[in-house]
Amino acid sequence: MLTRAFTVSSVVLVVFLVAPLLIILPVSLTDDRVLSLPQAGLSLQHYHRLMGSQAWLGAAAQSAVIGAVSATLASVLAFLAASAVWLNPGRTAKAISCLIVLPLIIPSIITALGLFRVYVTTGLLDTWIGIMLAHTILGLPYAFVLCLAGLANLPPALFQTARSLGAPPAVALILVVMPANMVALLSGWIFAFLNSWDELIVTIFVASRTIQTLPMLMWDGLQENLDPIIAAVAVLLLVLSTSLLLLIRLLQIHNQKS
Amino acid sequence: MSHAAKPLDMGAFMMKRPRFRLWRSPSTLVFAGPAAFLLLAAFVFPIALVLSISVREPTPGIDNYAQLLNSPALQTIFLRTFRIAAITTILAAAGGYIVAFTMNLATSRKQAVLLACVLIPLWSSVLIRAFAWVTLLRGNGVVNQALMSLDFISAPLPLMRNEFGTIVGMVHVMLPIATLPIFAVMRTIDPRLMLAARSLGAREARAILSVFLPLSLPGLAAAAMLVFVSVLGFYITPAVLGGGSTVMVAEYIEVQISETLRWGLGTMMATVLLASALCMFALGALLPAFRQQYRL
Repeated sequence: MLTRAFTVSSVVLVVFLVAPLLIILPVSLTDDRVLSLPQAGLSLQHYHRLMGSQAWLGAAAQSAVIGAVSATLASVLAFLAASAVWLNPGRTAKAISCLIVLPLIIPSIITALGLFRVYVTTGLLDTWIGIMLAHTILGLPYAFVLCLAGLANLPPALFQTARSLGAPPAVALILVVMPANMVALLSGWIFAFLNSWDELIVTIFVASRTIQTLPMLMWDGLQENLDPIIAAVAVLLLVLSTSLLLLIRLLQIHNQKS
Repeated sequence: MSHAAKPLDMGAFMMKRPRFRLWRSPSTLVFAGPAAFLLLAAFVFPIALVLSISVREPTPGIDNYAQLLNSPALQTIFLRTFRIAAITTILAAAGGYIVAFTMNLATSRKQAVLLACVLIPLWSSVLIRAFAWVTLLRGNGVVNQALMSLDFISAPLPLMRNEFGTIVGMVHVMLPIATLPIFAVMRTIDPRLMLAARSLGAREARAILSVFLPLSLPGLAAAAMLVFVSVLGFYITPAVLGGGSTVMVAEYIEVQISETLRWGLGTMMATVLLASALCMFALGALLPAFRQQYRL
């Protein structure tokens, strides 16, 4: 009885989770000029407008560059730090782990205030470097946690064997440990990228005119007028994040097989 | 599972531990150094600096903090934030428990489908999800139009720009976050325990409540702490779905800094928010299932 009640409630909860995302698809195909379900028929007009809009395409390109650079930086730094923690577990390792996951714990409005104030004095405000730096920091915990999870499945002897065969630490790490941990590293990269791609609050504070990311443009659209073009953007973004998740899953399956 | 008996590693007793290995400790510093330096210089330091404004502006001292005791308006903001956080936590943890329970019993194919339904929303943008709820809940949104065309209601219901909309949106964001740690703990529970309870005469509900529930409580507690910590500093969802009428701490801080330029007050609120989040985190870190989420 209880199990059946739980099963039925689970179905309701899953519908609650997924239905709001699915409803965006018909809304994005509306033939109306305002945000609504299709009235007389389906129309691709909002996708057409999106593809012709310099503002949206430019923002997408900027977000992609910022995401790719900061995810790469975050993955490299996170992999090195995770290796250190994996090789020498202990108090220092604990402290380092705590430090690196801090950006996950501290509310982003507080990070935004801190970076804003320091960026004003250092001239990093509204610069590519400033935003990439911020996104690298915010992506670090995701890449780090995934790298640690991946490394936990490897024998530490892997590193020590390479060392005893004469490889210097950096070589052992890059040529032996990194390939063995590639799936975790790539998954970490994807999560760091997605995090940067969606980041809004810190970005609003540290960017203004030079840089307009996709979430910033969506945020403005949500505040001002509810243009159905946002629904079209949302559909494309959902397709992207779902494909990236699928890619991670495929990588994991591939890893388990080999 | 993880407590499987290991054969005694005799070698460990015989071998003398090397007291000092030259390559060991420097490698920690060299490998973890860049990330640690970056976080200290470009994250911890800026935050410490900005929060110190709360005791420096407009006048040095703890005037800003005294305001917290004297101003009913500020207290309302904090009370509202904690109330919304608590309600969201209870709903998300209960929902997460139910979904995780079903996932745990499901066949591997159904489990994969359920997991996808949890992970896809988890990794879609919070902004998009808030937008999705706006299309559903606003005055002439999908829900109101459906209810009106079915003649259930004659005028649109106020479903957003209030606490209801905020909580619906926040539970939607938090349900996946609550589900995963509970599921992780449930997977480690030996299914034969339930069978044993049943074969000893316990009814299904009894077996679940007195055998399964206690064993899965660590996961539930970890999920609740995880949700509560995240919800305290939430900005986007309350700003979009609360529509200015249910201002939570994060949005209030933003207004103080960007609009009224009261840095002292804003950073004081930020300090209190940070202290609450860190306290909750420290409390949560007592639970292994919570630490596991951060690999600590």
